[in-house]
Amino acid sequence: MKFSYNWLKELAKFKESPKNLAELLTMHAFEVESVAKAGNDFCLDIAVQKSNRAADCAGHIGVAQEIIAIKNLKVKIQNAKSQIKIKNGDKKLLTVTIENKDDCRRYIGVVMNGVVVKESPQWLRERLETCGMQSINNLVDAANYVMLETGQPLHIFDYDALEGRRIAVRRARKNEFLKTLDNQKLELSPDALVIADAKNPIALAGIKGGFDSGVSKKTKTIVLEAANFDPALIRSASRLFNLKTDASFRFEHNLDPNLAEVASMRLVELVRQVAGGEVIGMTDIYPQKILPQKIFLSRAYAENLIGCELPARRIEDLLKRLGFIVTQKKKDGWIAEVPTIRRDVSSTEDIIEEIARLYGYKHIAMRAPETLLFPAEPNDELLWEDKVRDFFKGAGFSEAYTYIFTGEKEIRDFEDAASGYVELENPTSPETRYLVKHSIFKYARALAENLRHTDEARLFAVTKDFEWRMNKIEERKELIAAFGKKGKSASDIFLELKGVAENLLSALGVSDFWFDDAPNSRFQIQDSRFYHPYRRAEIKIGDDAIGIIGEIHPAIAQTIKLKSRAVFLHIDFGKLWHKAESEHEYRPISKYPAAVRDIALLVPRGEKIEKIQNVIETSGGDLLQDVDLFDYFEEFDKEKEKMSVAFHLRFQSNERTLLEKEVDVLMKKITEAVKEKQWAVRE
Amino acid sequence: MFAGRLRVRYNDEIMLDELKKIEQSAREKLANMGDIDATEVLKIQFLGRKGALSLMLRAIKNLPEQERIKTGSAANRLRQELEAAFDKKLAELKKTNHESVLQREWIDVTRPGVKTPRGHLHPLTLVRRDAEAIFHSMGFVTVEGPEVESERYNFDALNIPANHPARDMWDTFWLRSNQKSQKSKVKSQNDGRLLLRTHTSPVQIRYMETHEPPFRIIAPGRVFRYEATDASHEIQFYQLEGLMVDRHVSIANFKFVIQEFLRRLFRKQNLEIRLRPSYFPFVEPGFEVDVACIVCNQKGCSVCKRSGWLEMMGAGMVHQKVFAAVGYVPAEWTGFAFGIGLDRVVMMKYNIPDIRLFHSGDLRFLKQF
Repeated sequence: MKFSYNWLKELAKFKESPKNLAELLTMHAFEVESVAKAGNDFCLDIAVQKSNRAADCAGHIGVAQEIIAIKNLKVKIQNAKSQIKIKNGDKKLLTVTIENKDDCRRYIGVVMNGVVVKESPQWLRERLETCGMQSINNLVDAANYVMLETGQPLHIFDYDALEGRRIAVRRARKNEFLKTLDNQKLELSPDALVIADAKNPIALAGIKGGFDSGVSKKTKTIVLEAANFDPALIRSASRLFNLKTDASFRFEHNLDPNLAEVASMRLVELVRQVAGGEVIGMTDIYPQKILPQKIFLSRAYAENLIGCELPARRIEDLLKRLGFIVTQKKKDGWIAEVPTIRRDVSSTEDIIEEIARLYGYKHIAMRAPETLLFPAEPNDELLWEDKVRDFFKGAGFSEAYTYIFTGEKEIRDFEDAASGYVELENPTSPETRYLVKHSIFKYARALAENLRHTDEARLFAVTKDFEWRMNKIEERKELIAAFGKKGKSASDIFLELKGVAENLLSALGVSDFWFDDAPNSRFQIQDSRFYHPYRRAEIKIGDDAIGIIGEIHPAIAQTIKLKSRAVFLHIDFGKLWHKAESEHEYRPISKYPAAVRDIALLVPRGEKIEKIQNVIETSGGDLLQDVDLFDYFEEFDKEKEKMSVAFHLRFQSNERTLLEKEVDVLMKKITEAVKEKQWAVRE
Repeated sequence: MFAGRLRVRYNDEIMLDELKKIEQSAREKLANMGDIDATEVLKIQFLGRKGALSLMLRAIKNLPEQERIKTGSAANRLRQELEAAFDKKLAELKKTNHESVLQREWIDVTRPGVKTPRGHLHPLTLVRRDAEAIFHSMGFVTVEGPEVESERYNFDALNIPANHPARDMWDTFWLRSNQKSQKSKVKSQNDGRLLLRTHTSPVQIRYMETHEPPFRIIAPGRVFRYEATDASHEIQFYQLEGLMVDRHVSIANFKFVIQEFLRRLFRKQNLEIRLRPSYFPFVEPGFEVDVACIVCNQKGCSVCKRSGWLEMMGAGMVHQKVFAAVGYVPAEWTGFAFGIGLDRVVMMKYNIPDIRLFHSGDLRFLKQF
């Protein structure tokens, strides 16, 4: 909000330069966002609302009072009321009715005649300009000027345009319309409060005046409006019609109804000065007068909350400077009477804030908290999350953050349907219409982008998926890894990422994991279209599926223009960390040498390595400690497609050195078991 | 080769003469040796079990005592001398041999190292970890909360009622309710409409609803605002919320904790902070915390817009209405709360000009951290 430096100085009579004044206000009241030269004046942009002070400081008098309090100046700002007297005019000139006193807490209408509409004097135009307002004519300018001065929005109607000499403050009816001052036609509803004459709405209350009742060159008789409306109602109507005005902004912040009176007197005074005319009638409807609030303030509480000792006299002085009436109550506190204009002050903490800020936060010395030392309980989930991050970093993956937003096109690109997606009511663009249900899509895209300028990319993230499930929005933490490398076969990439997954699970202390290539669970259902149907496996711990690993479906890869084969890993992080086990037990290293034998087999293509290994392991018994595939190739001939596979078999005992013959016996058992499966053993 | 001759005569002179011949022959041959293996063979020929000297020694056993002593000691001396000579030669040969082998094994160490995959953590993760470590050392616990929130947790319980202008401070992404479900409508009516949390402050409410003071928590996390994006504005960004509640927590305590935190975070022991009045509905008193510009040390630069100060966070003393909303006994507890924008800290720390880089997923960006 823009303020004139000269105007403030005129009111508060301080000596500070614009820059120093800005500093003073910023440190004690509200942020001065900028100071700019404006002709012979300076314009201060003050964010009074950021300190919740728009009720009392949306006008120069309010800010001037604040300066007086901060600087402890001996200056009194005169109200207009003491200088101007209104003779009680003809009541029949104007009838005002308020439909609901909750909607309108006060309505003052002053009728003046004999005004002459013309250009404003220069000083008035300059003030308005400094404060960022355009000059219209002397009457409108006068109303705006008084608003800038007092903070109270005011409006002037052309009396002769009012049907039936009536003003009704009421809800709009259905199918009512209003043409606003700036020529917009608004379709009204009972959600809007209007000022109406005997027939039609003539203004959107507290927001904008109507075109037909506005001041024109011909205007001779006017109604000055100074009113007070329900802040929530003004705010909702302002949003409904998307009309934010200087008036609506102020009313939203809950103005003091007592301010309307002060402002109306001041406006009468100014209108007479710039446009002539006399008051011929006045109505003031004020059903429930707002009286000062009385709040108890305990000195001990104030000192506790601020954290330093404050002499009683100091506290009293600070509050008095701010216009509070302070009376001692017992030994330990006061009753503080809050000026009605301070609508923001309603609790003892609010008063403590007044003391603290006026005293100055910089004068409050730092103090270490006095509290029992209690150890912070670790958050297991987050510890595992960071462990996983460290693991992937060590494995050469880079952590990428992506947006949680997605749109129709992206969902289509990944051949998904938008069902179950969480939809936004107010997206900023079509790309932010939904929340991601499969954040893996984001990482596929990021991978594709990266492979446009690099040959190899490894990305990972711990992120979230959102989905409507069972009438609730489920927010799932997911671990995602993406790997693509140009010039590598899909199976190489797959097996490398699989190795990473195996290492990860081992590193987290999970031992009984396996890769199921015939899955049937939520991962299969949810991500099946994303993955190549013959190049994916479900990751299981025991019977529980925790994730999936697989190559991206070639059709999708083509759509997103992936420049290499790419494999993805996707693990339900919630399941993972619950299965993770940090306690490892040491297993003694055998003192006895191992015997290593090899076995080479020729098996039909499609036979799974896992199955072959199982046959070997089962027949080999406990002394067979490790089966390690070291050779694998596929042979194609006309008749049969065969695979040649070879394993290192490691036999070892923890109790003794194995004898050659013992191993021979075991090897024979294994060979027999293999032959039983009709697999040829190569000698 | 000497054996035949030695068997012929057994007197000491001849013996001593033989010894001399052996010595001469050995030294001559040894001098010409250039190969380790050949030298080893030669050593065995002279000094081995069946070597020339051993045979001599065996022959000496048959001499009369006097002669035996004389020639014996001479033969032993020679044996020691030759052994030393051979060992010396062998050591020399080994050394030169190693040297040449090593020389042949030369590699060009100026070639670039082989690129092994190196992983990186996101700069926001790095700074979040830094911040967490500092707060953990001061007894704070990290907690989390959902990103999809209800109006109640995001606003109402934080003393931000509907149709209050304070709501303008948080431009909100609202979520559509699940039309199909009647049940969810009822549920969401209790807690208000669903939205993407606009700040991490709802975590305060969720934590307090399930925990009794005293406690100290921090809650880092993603937050969302409905706004136009540019180099310094994002619809998705990161905050770190803090909350300490106890019997007597004061502004003075807050200043202490937060200055300590900021000094350690920016690794600047003399970093100055200042508090200035501000308003957040869930605190009273409320303030903004500025730090003396870490870029220019208050000399005036573009980062601090020549003010010498950088806005760091919003903070304040927890509003009693917030305590009431979570069911605490009125006036029994006091506390401070604060919220820091992590993105800004990261941007300052690494001199990153555009906030949108954080979500680019671009390895050329990520690999710099």
